[in-house]
Amino acid sequence: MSESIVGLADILRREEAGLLACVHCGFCLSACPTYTRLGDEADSPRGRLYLMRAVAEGRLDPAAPAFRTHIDRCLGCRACEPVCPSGVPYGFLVERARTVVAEAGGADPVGRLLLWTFGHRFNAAVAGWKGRIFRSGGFAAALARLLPRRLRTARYGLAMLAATRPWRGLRAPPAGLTVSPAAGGGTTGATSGSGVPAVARRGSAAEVAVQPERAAADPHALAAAYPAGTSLTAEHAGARPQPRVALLRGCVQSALFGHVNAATGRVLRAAGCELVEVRSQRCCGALHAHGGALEDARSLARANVAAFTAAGADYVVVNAAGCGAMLKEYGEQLRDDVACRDAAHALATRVRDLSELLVELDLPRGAPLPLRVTYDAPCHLHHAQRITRAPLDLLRQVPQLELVALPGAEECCGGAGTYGLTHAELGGRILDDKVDAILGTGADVVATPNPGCIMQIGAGLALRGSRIPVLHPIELLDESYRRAGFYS
Amino acid sequence: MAERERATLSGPAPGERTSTGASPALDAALGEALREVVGSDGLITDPGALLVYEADALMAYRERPRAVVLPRTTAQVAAVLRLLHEARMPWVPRGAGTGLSGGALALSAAVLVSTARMDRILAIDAPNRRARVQPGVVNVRLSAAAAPFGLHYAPDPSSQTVCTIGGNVAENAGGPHCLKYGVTLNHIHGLTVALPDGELVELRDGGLDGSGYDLLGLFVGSEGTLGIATEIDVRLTPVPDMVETLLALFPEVDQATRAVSAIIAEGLLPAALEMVDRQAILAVEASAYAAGLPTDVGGALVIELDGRAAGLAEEAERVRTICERAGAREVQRAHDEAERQRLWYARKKAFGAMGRLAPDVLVQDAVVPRSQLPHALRCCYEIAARHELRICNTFHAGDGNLHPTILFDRRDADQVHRVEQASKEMMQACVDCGGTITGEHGVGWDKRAYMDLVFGAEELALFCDVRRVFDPEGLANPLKILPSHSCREWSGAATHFEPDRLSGAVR
Amino acid sequence: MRRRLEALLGAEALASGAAGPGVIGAGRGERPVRAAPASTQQVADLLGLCGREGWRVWPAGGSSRRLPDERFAADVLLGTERLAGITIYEPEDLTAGCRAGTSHGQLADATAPHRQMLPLEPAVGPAGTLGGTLALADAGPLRAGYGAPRDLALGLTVVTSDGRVLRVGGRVVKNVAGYDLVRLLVGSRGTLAVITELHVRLRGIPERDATALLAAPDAAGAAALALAIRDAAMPAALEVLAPPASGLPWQLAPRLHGSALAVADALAAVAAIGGRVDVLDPGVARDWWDGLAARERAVPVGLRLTVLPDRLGSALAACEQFLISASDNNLDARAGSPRRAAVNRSGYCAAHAADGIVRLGVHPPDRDRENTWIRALSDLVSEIVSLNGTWTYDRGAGTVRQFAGAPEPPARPAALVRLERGLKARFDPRGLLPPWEV
Repeated sequence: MSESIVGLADILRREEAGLLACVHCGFCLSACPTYTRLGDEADSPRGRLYLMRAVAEGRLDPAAPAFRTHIDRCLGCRACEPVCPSGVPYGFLVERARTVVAEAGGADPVGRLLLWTFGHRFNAAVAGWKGRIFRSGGFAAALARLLPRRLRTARYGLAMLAATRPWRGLRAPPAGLTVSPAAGGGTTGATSGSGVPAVARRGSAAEVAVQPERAAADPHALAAAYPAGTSLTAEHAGARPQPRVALLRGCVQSALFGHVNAATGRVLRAAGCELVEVRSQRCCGALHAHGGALEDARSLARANVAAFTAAGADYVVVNAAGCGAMLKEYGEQLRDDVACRDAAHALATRVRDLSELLVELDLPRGAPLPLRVTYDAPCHLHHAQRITRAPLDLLRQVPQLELVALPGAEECCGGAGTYGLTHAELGGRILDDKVDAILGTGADVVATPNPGCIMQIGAGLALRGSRIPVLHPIELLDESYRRAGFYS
Repeated sequence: MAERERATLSGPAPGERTSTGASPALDAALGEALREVVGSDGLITDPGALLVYEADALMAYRERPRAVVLPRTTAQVAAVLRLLHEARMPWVPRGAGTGLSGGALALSAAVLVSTARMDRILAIDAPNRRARVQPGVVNVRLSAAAAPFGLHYAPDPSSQTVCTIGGNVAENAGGPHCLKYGVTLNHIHGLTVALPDGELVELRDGGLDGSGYDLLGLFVGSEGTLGIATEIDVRLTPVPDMVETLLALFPEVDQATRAVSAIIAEGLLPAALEMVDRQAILAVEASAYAAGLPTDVGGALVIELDGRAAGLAEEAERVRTICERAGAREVQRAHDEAERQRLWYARKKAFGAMGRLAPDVLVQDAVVPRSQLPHALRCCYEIAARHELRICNTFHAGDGNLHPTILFDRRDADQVHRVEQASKEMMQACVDCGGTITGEHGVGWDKRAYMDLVFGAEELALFCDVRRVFDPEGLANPLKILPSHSCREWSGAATHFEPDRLSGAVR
Repeated sequence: MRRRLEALLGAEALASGAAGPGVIGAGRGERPVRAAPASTQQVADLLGLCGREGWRVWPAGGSSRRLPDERFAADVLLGTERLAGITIYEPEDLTAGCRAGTSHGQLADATAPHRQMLPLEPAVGPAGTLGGTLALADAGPLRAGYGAPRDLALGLTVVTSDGRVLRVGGRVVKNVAGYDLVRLLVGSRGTLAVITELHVRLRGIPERDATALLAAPDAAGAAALALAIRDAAMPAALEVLAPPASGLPWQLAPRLHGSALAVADALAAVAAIGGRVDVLDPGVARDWWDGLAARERAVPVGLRLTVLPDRLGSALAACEQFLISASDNNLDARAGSPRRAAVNRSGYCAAHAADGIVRLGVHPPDRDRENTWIRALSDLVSEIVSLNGTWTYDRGAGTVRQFAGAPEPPARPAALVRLERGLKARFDPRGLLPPWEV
């Protein structure tokens, strides 16, 4: 075994406590989207942990094809974490394993390009500008439809880009959906609920596919994880009335989803927040960490810790689930950096997902938005941050918005960064299942608070010929406020 | 730091490359023939990828299989077994690999036959309360699919979110609600079985009514040594109209076990009657699932009654009275689903919570007559104390099914030795008071040595005979269940490979 | 032979002397000797001797259910009348251990004071032995609520025909150590080994035990009603009975067990479905169920037909048709009279509706009507097979087989037969116990 390979194994050997915590019970198998589709335990969390352990033990060469294949094939959705009785930090470990894979054999070119792009502000700006031009006028979408089917990756990529485009229909409600004069007149902020038909209540059948409890012993199902009437302390943690908040703009978010950031800012202000501008912020580094580029991720993290700490806001608000999960883990990511460790931990405790913060505030009531909306839970919100109910509660703030349950909402859509490009076949199967579930709900709109998921699901729907838009939930709340005249 | 790491993660020291103890490779012609049946992605032979199949949920042993086959249909399983039979190649069936007795360990350089891709629910027949499923269907998924019809699949092993119906059939799995509803066998109407020579037979519960021996009853719980169930007809049970859940807290653990006996003696039949002892409560209360239980109690019972709404509340009150008479200092009754979940936390989350108390946890499984529960539990505590080991108990008290759980650290060789010793003594104690060595986890590889505690030479020889009727060549899950000395004709057969012992692991 | 048995077991063991009525002589020109050993050890001694001598043994038990089959020339009839008594009963275990010759009545007498019971009421009645019930897997109507004998048997001590004593299963209610030979032996009809001791699961005697009677116009209606009652009331037993005479309604008898409140509620649910419901007084109900069992016992030929519950209506209609066609006072029907013949003259038909099990009891035909009768029977069983059902002769198969063209249950698949013969050969290598076929 060469010196460098021993060094690679050391990366995992340092994670002894995490690896040994796995008692091989197998409870993660049924939660794993790759295992349930492929049926090979090497494609399960337990199997991957075992491979990591074998590398750490020197029983498996980190350059072995088996290691690379199965670690690469992990979506990183972390659906295995909530179901793990032993609390194995799988997401953290798999990032280390990806580093080993990357070092041992080189990362895939597509992934490298994307990381390079978003890791540098200038590149990101250029890419975002090109992308916006390309998607404008529906060009990307049209091209995606026109390209022959065998150019699958290209069609898919174009469709993803197309999915980042703001939905015009939001500003012009579909025919037949009229805004009721009583509530839509844009009079004052806190319109009362009178005259507004009751929509799905907390814990109602519309929210989740209700199963008998014994059947729903499945703790990672949305239904079971959240029995009506209980609350998770992390989710409703209490916020002070008029907090000073700093928004993480995000790399993909600011390049392609400027409209979501704009909506976020408007709603936060309407909710009484004071926004602090943090100019020196960088990409959060999540994509780098997931891709195994841990050193890059750490240097981005250090920059952000410095920038946000200096800003001194009460909360760092994140509207992209993947970025939020990363920021909350800065402490762990920088645990070996004595200079930055404490600041990173302190910052992490002040990070809030947008929905997490908003449901704690006294939100004004906007105008009705009579749409059937289905919610898909981003993995990095549901599994990594364990925020399951706040986004639903947020959507319930919109009068006449009808929430319809999405079966399997808590399962990964297959986006997972560049997964759809690097694992087209498997990613496509996972995406198809998600699209089938969405089409089965009869929803007008899909809401999901993560840019990767919006692009992935949007591409999936478009390629299947569906025009159902995929939005960030905040866009719906924002539109409700706009119609209520809060911004005029 | 480095020193400690080397001592803890098993295997060679850094920089040293050794054989990984891999099984001999699969014969190329056999591999080709198998691929023809299951497709090229249905056969795994890469030594690295095979590593993950070294063990099931019992980590004490590991043995890498020669290959893994992933069939999708009954016909494919039959064809695979036929090929393996022709090649006289031993094989081991594997479901989700959640077994705790090493039943899915690929001894004898066997080929693993995984049912993971046989995960289709073939039919749900609501009027006849049946379903037909492939063996790889996950237990809880079947219940979810039956829910729209007001039905569920009653056996609920604690791994039900991941374990498969095929694995349940092989182990005759139980679970908390088996007190009232019975174990897996009571819920199986029929099986399509691929025998070790690849022949398919239908085993029906018609055998009960005089059309032949009850081979279905024999097959269920045979731990994959008689064949592979490729399609399973299960009984579905109506979801009860109403559920009452109580949590009774007792100052002393003996009072809790006596309450169990009293409830049973009164002829009440709760759906579940589960016990959590003080150590387990401490663990749960220290975890994220703290249910707000007092930590100074000796034991707690979770009692669930279900059935018709009429009269159920009165029955719950009867249970409360019995508990109070037995010395309960407090009996809580759930008024809604959230409370019910909370009362169950103590039981359901205990295992995971205990796993965080110590680096290693060994779950034992033994059954005693219910009147012997207080005595058996005392024996377990005393044995643990004598060996200076920490144990917790969370178990199916209503069935007399104990799960003494020993906390230890595999890095301490002396402690590991004491764990082995204590396990054996606990088994002996349970057998001495009229019990047996396993109620639901199976014998597998781990408990073969204990078979002598409950069976004599004649019974063991007969078990071998029965096995040979189904599997004359000894190919199906070799070396499992029966101690090697029990089968005269087999001793010395070419199928003996001792598994690689994980350094520092328990037995 | 008699002398040697006496020397082995003592004179008392052979005191019952005569083999009993209806016993056909043994193959060697002697009448078989009835021997009644008093312990498992004595059974082992007896079978060891038989094994050495090659004497054939008919496990006669209490001789209350099956007579020795003439095709199996037994030398020794093994009776269990001296192998009785409860060996262990701890009410807190909710289980009991008994010797095989213990009767249902004896066990009930011991458990009733603790408000416990063995929830099996085979048609043989309280005098039947527990060993016989398990050997024959003889379930009564309560199987709907409590399961079949295999679900209630926990452990057995058996002796093979070469004198091996085997203890399988145990005293505990959950047990997965080794192969489940208890299940294999229950219902094996004494063909593998002789049961000498057994341990069974008990249940609490319910606070209330209520039997209701309802009527339905025809077979299909009765079956549909039965399914509705199954779903709404979860009865402990649910019998459907063909009318005693045609023109009369079919009868349903759900039996409800539980707390007083739950049973009252379930009775209300039954009434809501079935309209007019008669709830029998406890004493009357007891007599009613005993009468049902007595009728079953009284008929010499029994068939057991099993279909999925939702096909029960068709199966019952086919049975009714058979009873009409087979009836010997069917003259009116043949003459074209609209009044159908009484069906009770030729037998009866009852079903455990929740399990789809139909018991058809028939009297063999007079010689001059055998062709019609056999044809009707053949039509019935082919209808059952076409419903994807199974059927078998429960008793009196020999009687039917003496008629030309008597239908036989479908041949069993070769693989199953191979396994069964293999098992038989391992338990009973010299074939000294009866084969399955008799």
